[in-house]
Amino acid sequence: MSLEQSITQHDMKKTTYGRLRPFLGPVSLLAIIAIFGSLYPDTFLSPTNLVTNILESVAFVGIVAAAQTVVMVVGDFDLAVGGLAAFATSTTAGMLTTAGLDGTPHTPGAVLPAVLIGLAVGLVGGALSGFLVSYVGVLAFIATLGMAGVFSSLAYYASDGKPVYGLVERNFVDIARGTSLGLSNKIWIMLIFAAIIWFILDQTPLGRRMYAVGGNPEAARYSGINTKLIRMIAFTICGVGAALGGLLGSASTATANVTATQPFMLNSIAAVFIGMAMFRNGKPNLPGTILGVITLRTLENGLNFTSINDFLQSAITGAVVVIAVIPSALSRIRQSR
Amino acid sequence: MSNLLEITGLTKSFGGTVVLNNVDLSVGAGEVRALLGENGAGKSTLIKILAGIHHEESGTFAIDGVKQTFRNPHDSALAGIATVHQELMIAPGLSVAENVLLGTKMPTRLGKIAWGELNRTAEKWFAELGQKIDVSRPVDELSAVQMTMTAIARALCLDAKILILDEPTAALTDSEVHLLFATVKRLRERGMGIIYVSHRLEEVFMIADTYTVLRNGSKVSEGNVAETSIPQIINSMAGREVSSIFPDRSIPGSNEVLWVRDLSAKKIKGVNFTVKAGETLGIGGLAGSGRSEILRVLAGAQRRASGTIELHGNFYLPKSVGSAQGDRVVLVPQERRRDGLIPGSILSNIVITTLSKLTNFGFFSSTRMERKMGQAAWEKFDIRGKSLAQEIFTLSGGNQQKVVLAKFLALSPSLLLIDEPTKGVDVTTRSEIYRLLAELAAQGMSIIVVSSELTELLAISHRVLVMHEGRQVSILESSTTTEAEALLACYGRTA
Repeated sequence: MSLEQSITQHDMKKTTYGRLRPFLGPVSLLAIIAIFGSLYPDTFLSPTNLVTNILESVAFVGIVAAAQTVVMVVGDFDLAVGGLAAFATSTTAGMLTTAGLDGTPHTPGAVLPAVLIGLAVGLVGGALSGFLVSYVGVLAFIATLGMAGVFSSLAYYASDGKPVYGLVERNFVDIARGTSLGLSNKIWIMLIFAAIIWFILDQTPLGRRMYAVGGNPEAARYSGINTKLIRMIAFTICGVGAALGGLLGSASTATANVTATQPFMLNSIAAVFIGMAMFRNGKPNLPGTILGVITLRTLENGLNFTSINDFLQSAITGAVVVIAVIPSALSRIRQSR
Repeated sequence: MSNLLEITGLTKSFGGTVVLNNVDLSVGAGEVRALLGENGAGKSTLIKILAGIHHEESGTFAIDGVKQTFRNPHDSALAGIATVHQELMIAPGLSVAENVLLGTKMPTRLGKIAWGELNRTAEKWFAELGQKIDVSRPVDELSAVQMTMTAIARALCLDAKILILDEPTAALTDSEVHLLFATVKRLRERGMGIIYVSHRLEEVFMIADTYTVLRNGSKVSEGNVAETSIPQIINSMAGREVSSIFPDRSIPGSNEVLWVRDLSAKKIKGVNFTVKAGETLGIGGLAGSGRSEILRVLAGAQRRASGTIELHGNFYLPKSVGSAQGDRVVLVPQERRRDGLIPGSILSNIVITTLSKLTNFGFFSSTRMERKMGQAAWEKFDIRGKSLAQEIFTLSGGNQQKVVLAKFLALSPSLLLIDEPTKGVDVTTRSEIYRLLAELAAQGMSIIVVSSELTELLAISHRVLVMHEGRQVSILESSTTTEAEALLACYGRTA
């Protein structure tokens, strides 16, 4: 592409779409709330629904999506978040169950070490995917798809293929179900994790280098950045986030179930894409991701109130995701031409 | 000879830099015209316009007297132009025959490819070229010359009237070159018009009928090959000296800072040189001669195979670009867009190399410190833009290059390696860059600069090391070397 062409293209970005872009996300979220709110003012707009059903249930996917953002910032994506979350959760749940894996009562272990071990599983699993992608050079798509299979299989193995019930209440389940300062602890945990990720991505040299690697890996390398290490760190952070999301989910239901983490992968990636379409010129960004997760969840929740067939509801959310990313995809095609 | 292709007044510029200026060129049926010029003279742009990749700004071209405008490569193929690019457009994994007929309607029977007919058609085209090849083999198994033949057979198959060969012999051995030439002669007898681009002037004298020399985007001479000589062509490629935009060279120090002994790596063999403090060493040679590789090895971007490097008296072996930068050896890469800049603001590009230093408590990025450093660079390098927040690729080439220099000079190098410092940069910025490099050298910085432009290279460096096909030809004293002598060395000859 000639310089001249690129200049006109960048000027073109200052068109209607370019100027309206920052408002698209919040406006569409408000539009969704307005539509369902006017249809079901008593139920949809009730504080219980907005806070408990929407915000609280967003926490798990929100954490995973925040973690997924990091990997997408360096230009990859992690398909293994669901599998890894399941494996980490099964590992911790095996230690914290009172019901026991085989139905015989079991004395649960200490909570803190068990949780740390679960997070460590996420860390090591994420680092392994990252190592395959950045040092061995396997495409992220293949490497993380393969690892997704490995991790879910290990999760089934660790939990004997059954849901693990009766997770210890004290300091585990009661934390997830409790509130602090009038807000659910789940929301607090998500906000704290999201804040840490935001801080890393936007306020530290590490995060800025991640954006550089995602923007132009070769230029990043010539700038003296250790691009391989940076990519591996991104996957490692993502692994920890996947584990945390899975653990929080199991704590709030007192159950560890491998199938519960399955939606993590698609939902987290969709949320990051929606966030990219909203803010920052198409780059993955934390505020956009969180807004993306909330938008998706609000839409799902609102559709529950309608008489639309349950199975068709996913088709609608899926279509919305695709439509949301079309403008940014189009502008990218225009750029590469 | 009737003119098959007639180009008049072709002009093209990129971002304010004129790369083709009012160029006329014609090719008749059965004529082989050599298109010659130094790197950056405008040959590639001319070819790309004919191939439908770039679009002319003004000027016209006609085929068989019919005026043409190409919107895309497909239009060019339809009009009867076939281009065999330096990097062959071969579809790996497919058979030779499939590659030949790619882009035509493949023969089918009941929707299934009729392999027998396909192979026979491909064989027929190879026979026209005087070649016999098993066309059912995968194309990947072919030798370099056979791949070139495949590309030419495809051109025949598309019924091309004009064939453009862009450096067709770059990857060929001598005997393969003769094979290719025999084919080119057959095509000439068929009445095809051929544009032949090559850096190897000897070949031009073996194969071409006529020649056109471009320099800085303008046609400087043309004529019959039989009526000229290699030195004459080299003189017109090199042209006269333009010295006004160059500052005076400073006097280098007396201490050697860098010793390179017997250095070999991918594309380079047995290179020896030293650089003094405050000295600017130029590296010249044709594209692909190993110039950039020397810089890349020194900068930790490419592995060394053998040889020793000493920096300030210590053995120096950078493991990565980052570790070289730690030793204050800094490479400013050649391709701004590909290797130098990251999509984002001007500021984010300037600070990317020094992020760790611009922090509070060594951890938080400090917006205030970054802005301060960006502001200082903005003024020092006289970056002409709207603000530090402006998107980097909306700047002109010259200003982009200033940002690249700002980001790498922020590392305060003691040895600066700079590859094509003025490629795609306007004249004003050029002279600013020359002045900057001269100042840095005067302050004691050692600089190694690679450039395709000999005028520039001789004017800004104290000595010039000339590379040819991965080997060092000579080290010339800039003050006593003419451009023609340097160009001869680039072709592997010593005067």
